[in-house]
Amino acid sequence: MSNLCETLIKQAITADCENPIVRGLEPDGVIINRGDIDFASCTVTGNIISSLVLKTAKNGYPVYQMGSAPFTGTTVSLTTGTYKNKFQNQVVIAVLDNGPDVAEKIIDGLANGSFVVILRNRHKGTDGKAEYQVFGYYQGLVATAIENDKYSEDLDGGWLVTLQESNAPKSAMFFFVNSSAATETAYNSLIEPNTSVQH
Amino acid sequence: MTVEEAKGLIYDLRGRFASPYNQSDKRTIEHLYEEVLGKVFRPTSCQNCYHDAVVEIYHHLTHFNTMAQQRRFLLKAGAIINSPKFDKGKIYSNANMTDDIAERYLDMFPEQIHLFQRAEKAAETAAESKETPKVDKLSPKKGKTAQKGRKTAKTE
Repeated sequence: MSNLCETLIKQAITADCENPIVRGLEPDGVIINRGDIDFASCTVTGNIISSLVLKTAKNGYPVYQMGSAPFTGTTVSLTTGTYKNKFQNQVVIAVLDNGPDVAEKIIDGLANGSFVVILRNRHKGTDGKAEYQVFGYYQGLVATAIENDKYSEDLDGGWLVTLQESNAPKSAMFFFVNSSAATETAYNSLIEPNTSVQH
Repeated sequence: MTVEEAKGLIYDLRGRFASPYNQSDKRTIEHLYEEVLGKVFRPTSCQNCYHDAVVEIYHHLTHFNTMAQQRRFLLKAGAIINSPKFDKGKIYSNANMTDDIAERYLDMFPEQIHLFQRAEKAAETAAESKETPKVDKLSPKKGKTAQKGRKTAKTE
């Protein structure tokens, strides 16, 4: 039956000894207002998003984390359901700044918006397909906790924001366009402000 | 904005280089940055970023004496051109794509118009300059894409 989604395992469970998995994330990522994504122009095949395009005049915003363990607390976990199990994605962002601009343009937005975040795994996979992991593509990431502890030793009075996506139908989505180089170009173009002039 | 107008503004800003710029000056610098250099100015937490921008604009105007040109083709954020059938698979984004490249690409793959937020054919641009009735700048080539049933006509 063509409309019956297969949920069978399709590959042997082994470890890649030549390219062993490594934990952690790179310090930079991209956050996008979910409403800015032009889903009609996006292409998804299996668990790979091969085209992630934003609407006219929209762009994503870079997220940069300091320290040896950027985006600490970022997880994917299973949520059991009556008819179908799903996944919960969690992304934790430390905002090491405070002030009226930060409160208005970042924290207030994060508190009430819905987002898609792309983070770069340290583990790239053999062909680079494992590098860019996308969170919030299906349901959107929304804030479940925002804290500003004035005496936090880790944050030094900055903000800690926890974003969660509940009931995602797939365990993990990856952004990959033809090759690592093309993917990097597309990733960078997400955060380039639109300019209508050139030399 | 003409080169002379831009020079007038930047000379004035340069004359007040030693003191901090006010909000109005900052808006002018941001506008000049895009008009002259063709890039969007991104304010950072750096103390001197506006002063640096003034130096950059001044240097460009005095050495090259040109303004940035209006682009006729502009990809949406996240969109790139990368096809093995086009320019041997070379990767293009807004950073390195010229109007000529975009036009050739759309001639070959008209259905990819949905990746563009601006797409003005040379003929359309010429027609507009003669004040003919306004055309939808993002309309795909008539016929071909319509047959494929894609929603490609988008307005800016």
